[in-house]
Amino acid sequence: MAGPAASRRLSGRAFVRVSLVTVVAALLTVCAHVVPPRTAPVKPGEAAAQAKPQLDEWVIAFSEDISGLDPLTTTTGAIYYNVFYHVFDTLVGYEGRNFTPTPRLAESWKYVNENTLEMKLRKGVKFHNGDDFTADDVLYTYQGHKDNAKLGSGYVFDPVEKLEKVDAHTIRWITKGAVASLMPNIAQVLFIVPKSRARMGEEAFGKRPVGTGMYRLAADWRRDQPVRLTANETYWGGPGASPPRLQFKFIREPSTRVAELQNGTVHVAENIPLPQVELLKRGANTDVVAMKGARIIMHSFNLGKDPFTNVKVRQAINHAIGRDVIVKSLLQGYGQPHVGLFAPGWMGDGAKVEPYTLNVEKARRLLGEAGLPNGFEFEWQVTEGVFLKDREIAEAVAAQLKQAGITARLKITERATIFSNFFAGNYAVISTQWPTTADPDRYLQWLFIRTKAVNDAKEAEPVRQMMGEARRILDPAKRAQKYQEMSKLVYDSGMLMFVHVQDELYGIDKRTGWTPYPVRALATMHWYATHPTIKR
Amino acid sequence: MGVTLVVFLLLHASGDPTHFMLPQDATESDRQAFRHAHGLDQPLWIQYGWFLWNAARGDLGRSFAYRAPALEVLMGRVPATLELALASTLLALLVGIPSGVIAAFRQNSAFDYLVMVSATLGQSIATFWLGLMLVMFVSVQLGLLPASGRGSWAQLILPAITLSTWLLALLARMTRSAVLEVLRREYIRTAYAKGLAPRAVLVRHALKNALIPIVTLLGVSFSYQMGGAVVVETVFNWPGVGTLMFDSVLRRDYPVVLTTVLFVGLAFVAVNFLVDVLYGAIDPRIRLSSVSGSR
Repeated sequence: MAGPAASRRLSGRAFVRVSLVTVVAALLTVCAHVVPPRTAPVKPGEAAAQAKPQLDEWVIAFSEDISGLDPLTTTTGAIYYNVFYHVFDTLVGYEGRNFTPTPRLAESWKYVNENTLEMKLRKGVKFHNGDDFTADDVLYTYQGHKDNAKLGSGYVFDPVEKLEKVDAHTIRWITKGAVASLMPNIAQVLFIVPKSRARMGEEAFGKRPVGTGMYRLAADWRRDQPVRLTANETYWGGPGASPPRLQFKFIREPSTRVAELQNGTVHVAENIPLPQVELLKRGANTDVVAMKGARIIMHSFNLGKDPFTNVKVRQAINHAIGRDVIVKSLLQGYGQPHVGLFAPGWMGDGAKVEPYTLNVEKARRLLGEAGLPNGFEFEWQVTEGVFLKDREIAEAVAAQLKQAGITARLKITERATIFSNFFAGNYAVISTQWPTTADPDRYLQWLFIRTKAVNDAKEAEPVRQMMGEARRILDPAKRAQKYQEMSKLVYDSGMLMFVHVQDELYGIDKRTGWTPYPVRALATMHWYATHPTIKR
Repeated sequence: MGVTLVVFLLLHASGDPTHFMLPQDATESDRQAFRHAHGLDQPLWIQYGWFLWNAARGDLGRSFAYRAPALEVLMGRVPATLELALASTLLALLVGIPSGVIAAFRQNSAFDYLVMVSATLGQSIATFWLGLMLVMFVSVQLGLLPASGRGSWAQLILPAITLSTWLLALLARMTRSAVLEVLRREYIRTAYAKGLAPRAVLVRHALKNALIPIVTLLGVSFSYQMGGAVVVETVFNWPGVGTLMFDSVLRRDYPVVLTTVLFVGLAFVAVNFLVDVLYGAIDPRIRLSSVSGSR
């Protein structure tokens, strides 16, 4: 038996000793080499000692994967929008708490008649590659959306008859009748790309997209790598974007995002889990900031199915829920009761309604009047870990409903199943969510048209009618009024199980001084607000 | 192929990729267009037939999410996974086997107890928790190593330690019992009687015979390591195959899931083949008997 091990004159104990020593030594060596380059967390004293505590580069961590950077092939996911808003410009922007339309690449706009929206485009704007920005680029981008049904932007462009070029810096949107949501919708979807994209090819453009935005790509982007941006010194709004560099990074695990924040290697991170909020607030260099009322959590009733066809049953359920305790103890105050159909700041918010309060007596009485004195049972489909405390909140609400004699059987399921069942109308009660948005029409379509259960229900017929009317009202004030009417109707007749509106939590490095704005573009909005020198 | 069929049917039975690849409220006609463009409107058996036909010609389809060939997406992740797998296995071998051997030689000594207690802990500890604790103490508190990411050697250390813990503990225990078993054999007594030094007995006779069950274990542990990799890759933001598969299942990126399943299946077969070859190398009797047995 002469194996290779035996032929060597290495003794047993020496073998063991050598391998152990090697491993330990290797570990120590690597550790020793690592210490210096690591960004040390800034101690309070050091921070004061530094003349300029500003960071040259912000690293922004997202909870969603980056799957592409070309606005004509990618339309989903928060990270794309955030990168897009920095690299590209839209024609108009919707800014601030009340979503005020603001000029971007379109300098001004007016309705020539009910179905013709004319836009004057900004002159002297250049793309990162030096191309001049003209109406042709808008037409090219629009056509890109029309030609690629896989983008799923049909909800924006289906009502558009055509887009006309009047001259090099004037365009006209011709719509099929009056379409009030056109402007807010294109502000979210139509990121202008240069017509020379056709020449560059999809692949090359996806690696190094070219826009007119405040930042440009610092290097080619590769899959599974962060996106690195650098300030565009020829930006039409003027140079001076700060910090000069930005990095967008995908970090899946919330605890890892928190750890990187603590290490000072990430400076803004989204979706911070509630249990770790205190940790970041206590940190010398870290903090948590909340975007108030950023996300509505909707619990839809199947309006075509008994007993939810009965308005009294729906009101009874809404009177059996104690919202304050959920917001205060489960959400630690990062939310508010959902009153009216919309979230704060949305068009149509502020309808005069009597908020539902916890009143078990009344709930039982209403159930009795509806012919269900002994209560009833239903199934409630909800996700786990998709929005803050989703499962815990559902459990708490179910326990509250029990007091009124209503039994909610929770079915915890994943998002794919929720979506399928929502569309097909296979549910009694189902929970979905909607982020903050400049125009309520998409949200309403989701609630009242996309799900077969509600779309087919007679109950919702007046709502759909009002939606259609509101869509044609071009005057924002009058349109808001219509939405308030609708909000009152939906709320008073309890067409949803109204529970809460949730804040969006961001962890930050204090050196950034970053505050969230209710638009998906995380950072641009901050700079617009804090850099008055930059032209709007 | 059986695996791909099961995965294919399970995936298609639940959920719809258009819910993830298109905006949440995309219109039905946009969804139809997406399904049509990817052949998802065809009957299932035709879709599966196409998948097999194309796979046989080396085309595994394009990822819905990344709009690139699924194989290319996968191959972009393979180096990271191999790096982590090799580093953790090496660590487990270099630490686990020696500690097991020493523990066996010094049975009932303090060192033996230490190894056994640590091994029991190491096997029962949750990988996820261990990873988070390492990040918290080594990275955040002590500031010794980066918390996540891939690129430098320093970033490999914590994930490799986390992933190797289970295997390391298992190896230490198995080695200890295998060596103890061998030490009681008569040929060891004979070897001592020949006047061989204890070290020579250990290397030439004991360790060599104890290796067989250890190699078997390595092969079997591969699938467990793949499962652990998903967790470790998640905690340390390591761009590997595990999380690619996980994400792709969640967003119903069928081509990537199927490609990854094929890859993992092939890797499993390859590892087991390697184990069989190693048997032969360690103990020529196995090689001879299997050859004569198959003829």
